[in-house]
Amino acid sequence: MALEHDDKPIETRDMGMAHIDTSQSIKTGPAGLVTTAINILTSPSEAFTELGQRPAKLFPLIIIMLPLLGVMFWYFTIIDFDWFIDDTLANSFPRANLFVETSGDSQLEQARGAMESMSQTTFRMIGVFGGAAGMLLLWVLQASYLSLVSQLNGDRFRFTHWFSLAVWTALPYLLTVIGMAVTISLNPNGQLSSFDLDPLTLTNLGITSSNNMVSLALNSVSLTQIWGVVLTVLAFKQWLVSGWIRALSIVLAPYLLIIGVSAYFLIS
Amino acid sequence: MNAKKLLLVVFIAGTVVALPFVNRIVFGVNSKEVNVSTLSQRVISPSILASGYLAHEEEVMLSSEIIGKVAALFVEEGDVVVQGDLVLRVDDKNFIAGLEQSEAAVRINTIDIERQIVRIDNLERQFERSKSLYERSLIGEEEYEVARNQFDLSKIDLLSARERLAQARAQLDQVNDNLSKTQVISPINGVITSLDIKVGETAIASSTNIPGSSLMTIANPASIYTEVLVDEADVANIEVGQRAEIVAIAYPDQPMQGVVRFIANTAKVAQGRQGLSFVVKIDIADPGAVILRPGMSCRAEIFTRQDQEVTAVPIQAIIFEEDRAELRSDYFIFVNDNGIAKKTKVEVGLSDDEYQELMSEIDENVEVVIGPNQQLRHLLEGDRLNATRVEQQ
Repeated sequence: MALEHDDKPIETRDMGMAHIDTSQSIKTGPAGLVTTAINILTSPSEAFTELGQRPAKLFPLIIIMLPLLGVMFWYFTIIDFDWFIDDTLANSFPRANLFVETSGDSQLEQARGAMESMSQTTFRMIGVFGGAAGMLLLWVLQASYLSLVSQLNGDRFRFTHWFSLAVWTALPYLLTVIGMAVTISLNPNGQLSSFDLDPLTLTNLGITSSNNMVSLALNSVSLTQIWGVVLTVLAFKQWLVSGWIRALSIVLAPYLLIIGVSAYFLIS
Repeated sequence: MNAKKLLLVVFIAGTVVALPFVNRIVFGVNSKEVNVSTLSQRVISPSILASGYLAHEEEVMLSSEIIGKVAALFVEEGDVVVQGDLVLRVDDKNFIAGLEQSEAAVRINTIDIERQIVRIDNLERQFERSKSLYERSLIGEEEYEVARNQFDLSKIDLLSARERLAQARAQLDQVNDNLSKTQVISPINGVITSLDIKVGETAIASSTNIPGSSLMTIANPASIYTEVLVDEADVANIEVGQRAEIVAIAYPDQPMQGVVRFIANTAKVAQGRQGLSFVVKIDIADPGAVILRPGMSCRAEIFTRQDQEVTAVPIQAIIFEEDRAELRSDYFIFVNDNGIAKKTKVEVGLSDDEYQELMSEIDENVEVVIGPNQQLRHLLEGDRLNATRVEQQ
């Protein structure tokens, strides 16, 4: 497999800024991509040093996307669509349950009709590729945001570094994909909720709440996502030699913004 | 590659793989929250819905047999009348004049007969005298023949006068009859439900629907009934004597009890309908507080089977599966087999809006999954159940 390996020399120009770490300019020997992948999970600082020098992107993209697409295809192949639509309607937002219980089946049927207007193939395509496309978009946005921060900061890291970092820090998501595969194999009857698919969501790890909004958040947040964010914070701190507060505030700012906007819309 | 790191990765991956199993052990397999109930004995009342209107069984529409101006009206709409009551009088001046004319004609013809009798007596005597003279050869044969002819002709004239009298009498009867028709009387006991003419208007002898042809409608309020149109596909299930519930559109919350009295023998295409329908008449046994007015729109629910208790389950508990390719259709229920859903094939009978009769022999203590609908729709054989016992009302 001919994987690209960006092996550009590190620019060591003096930006005249005291916070630029000289350690970044020390070029280490190239580590294997598999080693980097293992290091991301076990020894992230070593992986970040490697990525700072050689920001590979294709390898992590492939090892995340291919299993993800495979598992999602498996899921949408076995799923009972009628059941899936009902389950999605009843669980996707807290009001759905109220509306099912109080207004009877007629309104639910209307919503079902709208969802059923899509063919199963279309539904399956959206299910399979939608998640992967969304993830890719998120990485691009994250990389754009962090490269903008870099530009404002005047450091040497560019979009390609941040995009590579975004993809590599998502590597723990592979564990979610493995968990999904095991979950699907344990539930072959086609009635597996998308909310039960990932065994690493906080809800599926046993953290529950009676509050609908908190419950929704617990259902949406996976341990591997938190892991990925923590890795990004660590990488930011290491690459830009910044303090914890700065790293946390800059990396978490978009997430906090998303949570805030979502909460606003849910409340309103 | 550091073996420790590899081991750590394998450990983490192993933990993730084990997690769904651990989840199953700790939290158990997701069970479906369902409502269950034991089989119950229940009255199933399959019914047929039909729409129609209220009508009077005893109802007459009076019309005039003669043409004339209405001279007097003795009733108003809503008045109660009994059989033989005079309700309307048409101007009879012309008819009285005609009566006098006819009576005079009878009298003239009677006198004419008397005159003819006297004339016959006279001619008979003349004929007897001529005969005697002729036998004695005192008069000739011609003279004798003239006397005899006059006597015979007088007898014929008498017959003619009698016929004219009969004709005059017949005319008198006719005039009398017409005169009697100026007096309109009620043929039944009832209430004036419609009064279509006023004093001074001209009553017209006609069967066509033109003003003046209908005088009034009298109906017996005690004879009100419901006439509904039943689709030909349903009529086979309807029998005389079946119970029905009638709801007048004006009183939607006050159903009335009724009994099927009559089913038409011939189908007809009702106005506004495409298919064939049969007229079914339903007597109203108990109108309750409803004020019945003929012509009211109503609908009737005719219960096609008498009230017998059968083994039944709520209709949503019945799962219908159809295989069109094999032309096969089956009914199933889910029973709670120690917390596991067990799909059981059943034979079903009649149903009403809520319950379906079970024809199959099933242990009465078996718990049948009866809801909620959302769970039942997706319930599968072998699903774990978290059952809540619900007592059927």
